Amino acid sequence: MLRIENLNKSFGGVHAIENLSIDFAPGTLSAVIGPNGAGKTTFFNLISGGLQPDSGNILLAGENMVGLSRNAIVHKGIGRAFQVAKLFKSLTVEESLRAALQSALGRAAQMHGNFPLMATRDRAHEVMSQLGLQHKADTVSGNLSHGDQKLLDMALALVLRPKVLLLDEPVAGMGPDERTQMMDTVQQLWRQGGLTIVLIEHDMELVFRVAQRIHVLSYGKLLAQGTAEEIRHHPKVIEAYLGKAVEHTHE
Amino acid sequence: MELTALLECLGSVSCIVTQSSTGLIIGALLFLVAAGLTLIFGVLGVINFAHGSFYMLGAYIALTAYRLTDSYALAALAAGVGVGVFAWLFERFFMRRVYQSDVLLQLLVCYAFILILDDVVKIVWGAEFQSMGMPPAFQMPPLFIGGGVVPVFYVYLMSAAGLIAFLLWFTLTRTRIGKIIRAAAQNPSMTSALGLNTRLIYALVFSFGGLLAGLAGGLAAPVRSMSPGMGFSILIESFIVTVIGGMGSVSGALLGAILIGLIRSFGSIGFPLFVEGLMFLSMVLILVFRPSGIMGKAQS
Amino acid sequence: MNHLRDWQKDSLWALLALLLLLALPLTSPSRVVVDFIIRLCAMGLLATSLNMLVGYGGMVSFGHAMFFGSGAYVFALMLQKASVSVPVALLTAMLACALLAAVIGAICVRLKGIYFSFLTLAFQMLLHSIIITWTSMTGGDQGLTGGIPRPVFWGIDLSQTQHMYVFCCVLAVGGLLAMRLLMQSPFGYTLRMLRDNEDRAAYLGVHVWRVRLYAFVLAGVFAGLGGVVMSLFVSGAFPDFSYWTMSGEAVFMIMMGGIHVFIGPLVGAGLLQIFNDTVTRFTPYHGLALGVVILLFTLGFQRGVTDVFRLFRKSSAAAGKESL
Repeated sequence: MLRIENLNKSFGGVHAIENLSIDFAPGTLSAVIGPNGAGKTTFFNLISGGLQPDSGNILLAGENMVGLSRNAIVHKGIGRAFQVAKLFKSLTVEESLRAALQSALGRAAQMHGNFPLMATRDRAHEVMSQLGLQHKADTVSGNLSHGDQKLLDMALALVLRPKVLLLDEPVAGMGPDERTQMMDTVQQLWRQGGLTIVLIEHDMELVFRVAQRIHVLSYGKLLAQGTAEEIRHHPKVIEAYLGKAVEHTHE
Repeated sequence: MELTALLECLGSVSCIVTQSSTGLIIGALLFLVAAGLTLIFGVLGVINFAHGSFYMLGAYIALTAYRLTDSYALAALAAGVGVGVFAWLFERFFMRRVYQSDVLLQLLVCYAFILILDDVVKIVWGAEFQSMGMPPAFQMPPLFIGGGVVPVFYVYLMSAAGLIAFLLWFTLTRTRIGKIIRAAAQNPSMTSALGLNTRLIYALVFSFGGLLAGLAGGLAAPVRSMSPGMGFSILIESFIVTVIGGMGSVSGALLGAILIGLIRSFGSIGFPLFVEGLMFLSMVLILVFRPSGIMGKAQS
Repeated sequence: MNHLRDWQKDSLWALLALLLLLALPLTSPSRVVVDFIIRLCAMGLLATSLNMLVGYGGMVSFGHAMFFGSGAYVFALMLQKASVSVPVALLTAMLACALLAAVIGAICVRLKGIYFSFLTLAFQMLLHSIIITWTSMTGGDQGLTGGIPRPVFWGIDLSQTQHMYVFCCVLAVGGLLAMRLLMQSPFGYTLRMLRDNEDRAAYLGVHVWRVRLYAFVLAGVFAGLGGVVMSLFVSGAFPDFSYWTMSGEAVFMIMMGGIHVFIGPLVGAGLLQIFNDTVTRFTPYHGLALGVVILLFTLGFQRGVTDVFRLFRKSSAAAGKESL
């Protein structure tokens, strides 16, 4: 579904991503992990079009995304959620989702008629139910709790029916109960089918529990990839983390 | 347009000298004002829209001081110090409260002060045009360089500005306080974490910027007439200079000021009615092609 | 009322407002009211159009008055020099503003934050310089004097005060209604998305630059409409219409009235006009008074009149409390 081939990106003289090749099979739930500074967020930025690679290919269902703008890539089917939720603080949950949808329908610049468009109602309600936000539909985004903000952030990525969903640290800043809840939600989403999910996470326990495949980055290079069991005992991976205790909470 | 007149001038050494000296004077004064503006922006991150009013205040303070003491040097000094103090108070009681706010609010606070100061000047000094007149020390025949006319006062003014520019450069790059100021510009939270009093630094920079503007007003007094509302044109020009030179860069302000001064002086020969337009055109061009200015660092 | 769609409700309010305005001069024979309203029509259009950019779009333009001035000049010139009918002059003025806004906007809208603001200011002052210099066409710093011809059209004679009043009210209410409908349309919400989080909007497929440009052009057209009303009021056009002070007043109007409510700028325009008219009667130092009031608002309240009302309504505090 999403194939990365020989991806390279440098800033100044620093190789943020070096000759990276990863294959994300359709319908899988994968994780990308690595110590801080390994280039994970840069990786997501490259896939979603926030940055352009120096060389290499990013193939979504065989089609190369390199060179396309952010909004074009979104229309092709890559959705992205962010480490720090990027929300429309003055819009309510429902308004945010319906505004996002009208863009997918190509009606973002429609100047007649009232917002919200009827055509955006059903999908918005569907996604709100999927993520448990339906009771907060009329809450202004800026007033949501941190956990709900992350949910809305994910909802915004989901609402456009992406083929690939990129989740950047979905449980960042959450307490233990919230984390479990969030990860359950992610798993539920995945089980409903039709979605290839890639997540970046620091919380190893969650990653090992949930991810089918784990890819480890270090200094912009792919260090190892495999199942949770394989990664857990991989010597290079342990070395990369330099004997640091497995992180349970993310600061 | 008088393009032939301009070309003729460019072909004559005397004309070039005369116009260049005029241009450099304008540039020198503009530099002093713009340097303050760009420093305030660089360190505090705010645009002091009231900066032109500081210049105006300086001119009027110098006028009164000169009338009282008959000394041009004292008048200029009084202008600088007086406005410096005023700027300190302005920062302490007004600007400080809107640092975290929208730029619109900062703009409005400054706009309010422009309105208030313009009327205060009207009340205290009257609405008519006033002038200091050339102090007797400079009432001597001009210098003739290459056939061009260069008033002695101009040479003095340029040297004064040059000296201040040098002192500014020296302080910012070679002294400890200068390094602290530059550090505060780069990273205010780090600077305060290191135990340095950012509040004090902000107050210092702001009042110093005001001092420069006031000084410029005072220094310019012999060759400029003053009226309430004179602040605006100098404000706009110093904006153009800071944008062209790069917001936050003092060396950029110097380059920009000289450029604008020369555009003004030569431009008034070739495009007499459109000189202002020329300057705004330069501003448009810089913002479109190189928004960070000639010497500026890119804004994130 | 609840079974009506939003746009129908808005239209009804507009109709009501128009009827009220038309009835107003009947309460007082003096010209003061009529003059006040006509000026408010012009400034209300300017301020509300600016708020489309500032309040709804997060684009702080320092040079919006350039479209106000353009509208006035093109309208007046078409009548003076091209001897066309009023409707044609009006349409031409709005078209000219649209074109000007499209060209200038295409350049400005690419920049962000303070650079956008400065560039709009630079363009505005550039236009002002052109107006001042091009004496043969614009009358230079004297402005367009000599009055503007007002040929009768559709039975309307704009040289008669009543006709003029009704015409200006219709233009203003119509313009404000159009702006309201635009801001409540899908486009209006896309604009709000750009204001709140431009980055996210891009990641949701929005063409940021394009939407911003549309907003800039629309705002320019409605500011131009305000300029037309002003031109009718002063029977000409003056360089001051495109000067930074006009833009500054517009900014103050929207800050004072509140940028988060649609009629905020109109309220601000009204309040500022009342203030100006009153103060100038008592003292020549109206700048001093206005400056103090601005300080009170910016440092004291830190928000506009309608914003304060909104907060009071939300927090169910003591009702009926005055905001001033």
